[in-house]
Amino acid sequence: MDKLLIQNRIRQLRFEANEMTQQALADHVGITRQTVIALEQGKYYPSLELAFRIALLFAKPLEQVFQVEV
Amino acid sequence: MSFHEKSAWASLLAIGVVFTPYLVVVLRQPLAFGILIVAVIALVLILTGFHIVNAISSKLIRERGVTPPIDELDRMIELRAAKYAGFVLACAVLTWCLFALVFVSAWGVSAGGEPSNLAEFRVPVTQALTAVHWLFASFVLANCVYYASIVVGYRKLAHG
Repeated sequence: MDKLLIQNRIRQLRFEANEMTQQALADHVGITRQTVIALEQGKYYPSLELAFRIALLFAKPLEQVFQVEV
Repeated sequence: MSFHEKSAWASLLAIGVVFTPYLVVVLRQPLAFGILIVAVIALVLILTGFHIVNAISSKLIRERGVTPPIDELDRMIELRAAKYAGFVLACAVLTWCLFALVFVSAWGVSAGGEPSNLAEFRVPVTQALTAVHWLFASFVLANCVYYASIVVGYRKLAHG
């Protein structure tokens, strides 16, 4: 089965949230800054729990933060 | 470079620096295993020194007084590394068992045992210790694979 390509708008949402830093986002959702970088670059797909944490932080539905590229 | 990657680099280098000379010595002189204490103390000192330097040089640790948390990405990298290390250790131990089965009889004969009666074989203590040192070497190798895999995992993230 082909691997799904998942994109996200974390970087854009950070800037919309008063230019939140990567470290601030990392602290809010309990991850390291390195993981935020990997997420933004699409090199790492988060767990469902982390994905929901990020979406909740930005007060957006999950599908507005993460999208599957078809 | 993240704290956890630096930590993996330090562990890898410390194990290499400490246990390479240790294994070279004990495989040549099997009875000199007492230097294991020196090796372990050296390893602890090197790693303690690294953590102090890392904590002083890291702005984040300096400000907060704690090391960064291990998150799900770190855990995934560690689990993958543990899988590779476990595989290497299993292969090394199986190889060791096969060699031991073959060489125990050979060593017994050289020690004066009767080839027709395996139950009376005697293995010289130096040979037995050499075998133990090789087993320990496989454990060290598995640890090196573990930390090297962690480093590779982080490097892949950094450079695609």
